[in-house]
Amino acid sequence: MSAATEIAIETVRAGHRYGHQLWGLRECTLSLPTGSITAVVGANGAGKTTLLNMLVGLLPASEGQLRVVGEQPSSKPTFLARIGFLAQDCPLYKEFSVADMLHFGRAMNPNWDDDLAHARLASANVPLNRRAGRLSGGQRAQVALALAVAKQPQVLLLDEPLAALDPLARREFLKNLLDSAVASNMTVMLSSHLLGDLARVCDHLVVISDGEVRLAGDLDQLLGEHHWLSGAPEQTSRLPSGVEVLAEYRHERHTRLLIRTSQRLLNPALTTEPVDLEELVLAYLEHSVVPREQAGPPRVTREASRL
Amino acid sequence: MIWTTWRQHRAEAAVWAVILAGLVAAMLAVGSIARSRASALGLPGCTTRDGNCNDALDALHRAFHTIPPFTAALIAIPLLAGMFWTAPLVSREYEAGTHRLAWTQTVSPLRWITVKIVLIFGALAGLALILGLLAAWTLDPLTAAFGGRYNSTWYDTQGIVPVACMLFALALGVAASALIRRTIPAMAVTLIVYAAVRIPIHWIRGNFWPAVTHTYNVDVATLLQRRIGPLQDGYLSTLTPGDWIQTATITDSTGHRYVPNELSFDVFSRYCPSVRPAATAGGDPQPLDPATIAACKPKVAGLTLHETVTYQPAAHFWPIQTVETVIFVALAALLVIVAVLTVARRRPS
Repeated sequence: MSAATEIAIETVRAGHRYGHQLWGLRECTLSLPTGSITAVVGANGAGKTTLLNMLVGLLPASEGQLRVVGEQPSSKPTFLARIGFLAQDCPLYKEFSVADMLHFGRAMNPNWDDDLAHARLASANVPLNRRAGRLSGGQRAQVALALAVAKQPQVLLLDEPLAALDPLARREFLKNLLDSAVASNMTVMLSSHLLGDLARVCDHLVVISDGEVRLAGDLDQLLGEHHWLSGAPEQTSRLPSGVEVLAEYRHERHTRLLIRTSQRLLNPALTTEPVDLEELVLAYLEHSVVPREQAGPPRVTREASRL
Repeated sequence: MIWTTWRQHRAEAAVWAVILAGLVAAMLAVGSIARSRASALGLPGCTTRDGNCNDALDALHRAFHTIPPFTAALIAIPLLAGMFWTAPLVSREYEAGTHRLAWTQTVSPLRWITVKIVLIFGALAGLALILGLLAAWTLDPLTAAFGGRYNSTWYDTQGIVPVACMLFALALGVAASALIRRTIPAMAVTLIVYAAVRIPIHWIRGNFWPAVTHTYNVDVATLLQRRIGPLQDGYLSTLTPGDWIQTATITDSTGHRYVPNELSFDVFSRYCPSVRPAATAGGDPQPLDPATIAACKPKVAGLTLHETVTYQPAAHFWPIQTVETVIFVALAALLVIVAVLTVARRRPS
């Protein structure tokens, strides 16, 4: 069995409903291989936290199925031992010192690696005797990360870990995260409302908007399938089937399309350009494009005057 | 988990240890002073309020009249424990977001809440037991002077009922905390429900153990001694100060009821309204006018009066405490189950 083909996180049409009406997430289908680093991107309230809470078993699935490291998420210690979770806002016990937080981690986790925790905090320059309530945002995130990593999980889930961090602290945090992930072949999933720095560390992408997954897959593959296409309007209006138009920008004698296709386009009258990851995510977030099988008329149109 | 519980609660534990030490010292001091004072006054040996005993008991009452407010304050200990130990237990985690930290370690939330409940309930029930038994020892020499142990503030502070109250208040706090998930409302609910359940118990605990009923034939002749006042040697007057009188009625053969404390007055006003004090009034009891008594005698000659007293003897203190303890421990167990099941669902917000 090769690690590359093993699936660490799998969801099939999974969803969670709050109360009777409000769906936090619906029809979520994902398949993420062991060792992958996945960025879950979406606006605030899109359903990222719901997804992560479901994966760690804090929320039950109202529909569909979830499998994390081959198990249905639950509150069983055998499952929890294999999952690292860094909750939103990096909660720590304010009155505990950093050393107390490590003691907490040791007391609560049988697979605890104390040397690893200390090494992580030393490399992040976090003083052990300081109370958690008096740490900077960056230090707090580092302590929370050290706690989650020293537990030696197979899957590490991080909910908006970068939200409160300044650019330098983000860079430090991601470096520390990447070091840990690579060292232990951990599967990592982290959410953010903006792709930003995540683009450098992740290899898989999930875009969530309004409680639904808009885009999910291997980053290189997604970038290979999406193109900017530009040319005269009469050319761009006649596209072969199997080409999905995600966005269309019309100028007077020139149209620019964001398309998704797995085939090569051979029309010499059209220019294709590669898509930048940030543009791709924004296009999906902005237009709430629902993935569809066959190409249809452009669902979203924007007038040139607005460009 | 034990370390985590200790680390999270060591500050409160320190405060409560100081309070406990202070209370134990104060109760030991009061208990020994009360003992030496009681023996200096010739007590114990006095069980009924008559003669020299009465004076001695009054002297003891005067010397220790500042004690009841303190025993009343002891009633608040279980309530304070519920409000400050367990009402924040789960809600504080929710408010700080740390429940998502605590419940994603390699410890199931079921175990998390169970260990916390066992440790906190164990420690505070132990404290309540120490204070309850110590209070029973401290207040023992004063009991006769202060009208027995059934008085609600004295009853609630001694014996094993304080342990049941403690468990009930703690269970109420943790259930409110798990269900409401906000500390201040959970504390308020703990306070209100605790008071709402505990206060009516004072009115119904007289039924927790079968009461003793005595029926006694009243000697009508003695009625003619004084115009106003209770029976001189009825059963009522033979009870000890530690007995808890629930009802005392005096009836005649027609079923008419008389007020026990005003028996002679009641009888005279019914049968011989003409009985009046002697002209040379004065003294206690006030002498009656012999002429009016003579006129009354035939009217009350055929009268038969029965005194019926229902009361809990002082010796029923422990059976009643046991029943009340069982009731409140059962209520506490139900509330703990609610709290544990709620936390075991470990909802993220």
